[in-house]
Amino acid sequence: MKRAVWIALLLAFIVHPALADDKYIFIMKAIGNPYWQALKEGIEDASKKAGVTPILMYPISDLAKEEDLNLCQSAITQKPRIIVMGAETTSIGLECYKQAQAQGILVADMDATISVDLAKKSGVDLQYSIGADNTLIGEKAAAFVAAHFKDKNAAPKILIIEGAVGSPPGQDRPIGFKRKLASLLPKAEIVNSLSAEWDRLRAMNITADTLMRTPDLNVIFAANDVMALGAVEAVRAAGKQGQVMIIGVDGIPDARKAVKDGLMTASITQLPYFIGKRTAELAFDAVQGKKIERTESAPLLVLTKEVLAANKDPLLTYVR
Amino acid sequence: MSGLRLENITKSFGAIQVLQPMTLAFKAGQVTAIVGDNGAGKSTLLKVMAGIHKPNAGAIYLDDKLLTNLSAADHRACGVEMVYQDLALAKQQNVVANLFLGREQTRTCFGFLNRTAMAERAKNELNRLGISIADLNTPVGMLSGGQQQAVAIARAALFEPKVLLFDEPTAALAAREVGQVLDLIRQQKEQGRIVILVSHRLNDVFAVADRIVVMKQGRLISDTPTAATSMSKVVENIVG
Amino acid sequence: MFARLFTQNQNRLYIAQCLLFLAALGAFFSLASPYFLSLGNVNNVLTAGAVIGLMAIGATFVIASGGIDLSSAGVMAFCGTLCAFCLQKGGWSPWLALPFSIGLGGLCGFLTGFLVNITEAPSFIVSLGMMSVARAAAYIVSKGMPIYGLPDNVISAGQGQMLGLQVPVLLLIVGIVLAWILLTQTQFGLHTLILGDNAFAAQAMGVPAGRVRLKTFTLAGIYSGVAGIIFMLRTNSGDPTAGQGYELIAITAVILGGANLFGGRATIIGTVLGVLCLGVLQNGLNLLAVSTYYQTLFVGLVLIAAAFLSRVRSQR
Repeated sequence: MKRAVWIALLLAFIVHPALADDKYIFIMKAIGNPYWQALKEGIEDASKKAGVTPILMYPISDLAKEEDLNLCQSAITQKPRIIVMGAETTSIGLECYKQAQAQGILVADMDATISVDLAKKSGVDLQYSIGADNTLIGEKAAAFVAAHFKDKNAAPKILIIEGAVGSPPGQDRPIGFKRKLASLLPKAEIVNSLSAEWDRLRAMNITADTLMRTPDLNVIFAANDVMALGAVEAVRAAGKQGQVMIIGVDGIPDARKAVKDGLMTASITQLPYFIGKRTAELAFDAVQGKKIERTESAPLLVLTKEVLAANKDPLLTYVR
Repeated sequence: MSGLRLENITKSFGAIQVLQPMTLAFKAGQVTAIVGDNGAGKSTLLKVMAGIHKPNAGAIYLDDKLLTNLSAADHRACGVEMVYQDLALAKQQNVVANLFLGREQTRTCFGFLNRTAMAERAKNELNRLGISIADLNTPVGMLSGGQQQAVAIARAALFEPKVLLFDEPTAALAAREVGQVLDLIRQQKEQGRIVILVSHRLNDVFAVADRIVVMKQGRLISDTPTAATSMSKVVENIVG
Repeated sequence: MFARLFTQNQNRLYIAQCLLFLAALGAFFSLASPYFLSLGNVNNVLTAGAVIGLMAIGATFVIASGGIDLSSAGVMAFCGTLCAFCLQKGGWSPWLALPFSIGLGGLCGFLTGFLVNITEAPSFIVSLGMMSVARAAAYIVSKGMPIYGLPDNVISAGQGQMLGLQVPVLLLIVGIVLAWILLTQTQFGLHTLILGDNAFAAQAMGVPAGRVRLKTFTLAGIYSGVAGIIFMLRTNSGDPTAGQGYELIAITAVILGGANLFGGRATIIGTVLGVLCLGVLQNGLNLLAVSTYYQTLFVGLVLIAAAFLSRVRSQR
């Protein structure tokens, strides 16, 4: 008898999602990441406005990558109208999209996690791709550094802290940074460019070791804010507070606080709340068959002490 | 009444009755060998006496103290020691640690080990038993099979037990090491202890035992002084 | 002579091997980089090793007893996050928040040990469960967001010096000394090793196996808790995603230090040397600006070399 109840419950659990109509599934990245937290809020606010309850799915950890595929497959079994994914790797993202497309489910990319060209080549018809170009973020950071040094012949010593190997933001941001830097400040010296795997303590250790080798380090560019904050602590521990320019990416609350306090120089933000809001709106439009832009580039904003203090930039309303 | 007494002990594992009601008595200063074919129940009987298995019915007395239903640790505390077939030694630990296994000497507080006292006592005890091991800091696993057996016996003898139980003490040994182990068993008997051993090796049994008990399918077949029986009769009882 | 050394004292031999290996790494890096042997860099290596070091010491007890603790990084993140939460959001005094968080770390370990005892399941499985539970607790406490910016007095104390040492290094040294005393000088330490060596013998000879196991896991939890506090102090934040994968690095360090993965043999000194080997390798490669691809390769090669060492060890 007891067993029968369990089976009934289990069945109800499995069958139930298929009963709902017009489902929107967003596959996020693991929780614990403030950037995606803001993006999530954007999705939720836009959904509330549209009177829709989106389904948000999270992998337990970003490190395993494969979880994305597992989530995607369980998303497909729920037969939604559209799956929007912030994939950890391009290949897994495309694999997921292919399988979904074969079931007649619309697919879209949020946060520019996969290459649009590759998608086209693999026959994946993305409804839209929204996000900030990662190379552009790196370039923006390089331009900020160059503007700071003014003189084209300046030769600052620079440490680059990369994100996880194999992840587009982790690699493309440093690539964009290096490329732009070479043209703007040809004499700049990159003394170290290492991956801290998005980990705060690893970033801190790399910074401490680099400061040992290069005590007169001028600039640290980290591929995200969490790693930049690790660098902040290493610089502080080495007694070099205020002597090293530290730039991060994402504009998370902690980084904004550090920028306000003068611990970090700047954070390049791609306005995750904005991306979340737009990705939800675009998803609803796509399902209703409205015509939409296939790729939408999110605006970038360089958060500095001055920008935050002035509080005038209209984009700041999207900073959460 | 002094000595170890079993009264109507039975033991079954599930539906299988391993020991039929069994009554036996053992005297101090006597070596009793329990022999029998595989599955005769002799090992189970030994483990019941050591407190590892609880009997289903019956009683065990040691010098009129009731041991039935006490744990293995309590049996040890009452003076019943067992030397296991696989020796139950910690192979990566040294000789001293194994001799005192579970009964380490500590200083008064916080459980700090008194290593000097233990090493001293271990050395004396091994000398007394005539066991020669060059370095007591050697991990036991590095010793020869005979030496390991000797350490296991010395451990059982260390705290002046009244009863010593041996499970196949010579089964795993090379021929030249058997003599030494049999000497150790005789020595224990001369100390006035009750010695009971289970063995397959009838040569060793006849060399050391004063009394031979034959078991078959959980029953007592014969119980005679060694002097009053012969190898062929024992074999006949085991097989027949 | 060599064979004799081998049979006489394994532990000393393994420690000598590990020292030799560390010395070789040190010699190489000090030739390759002029900064390697500077006082500041030695300090860096030690501070960077404190978190992994404390986790590895805790793991040493569990491995010695024949278990494995996969929950250490989860517990570490939980304790650091919880402590940051109490300090920053709760406004607690550090004298309350630190012992409280470390105590909860001990409680996590106690629970793991308790569950291993009552389920008699492999500690591998139970601690894997605890890993997720502790990580989840960290997410719940922090609502999934890092807690950044601790009170100034805590940070200046935690990132400052005491007795001429960085606070993390000081905590590491205290942890090493206490663990060494526990493992080598007390009945509990000996029982831990015996339990890992031959669980049947331990039980038959009256070693309170369940209680010993409970203590090893509780200790591991406490050490992870202190590691979490150090993580928090160093990074000035309670990060619920902190240290993913650190539990395996900690276990690797223990094995590199000559411990038997299946229990019965482990030394604190060996573990510390194992941690230093990994730390020196990472630090040296950073100083030489070796790219991440090759760093990963070198770390892998070192582990394979360690596997060869342990193969030689088992051929006694």
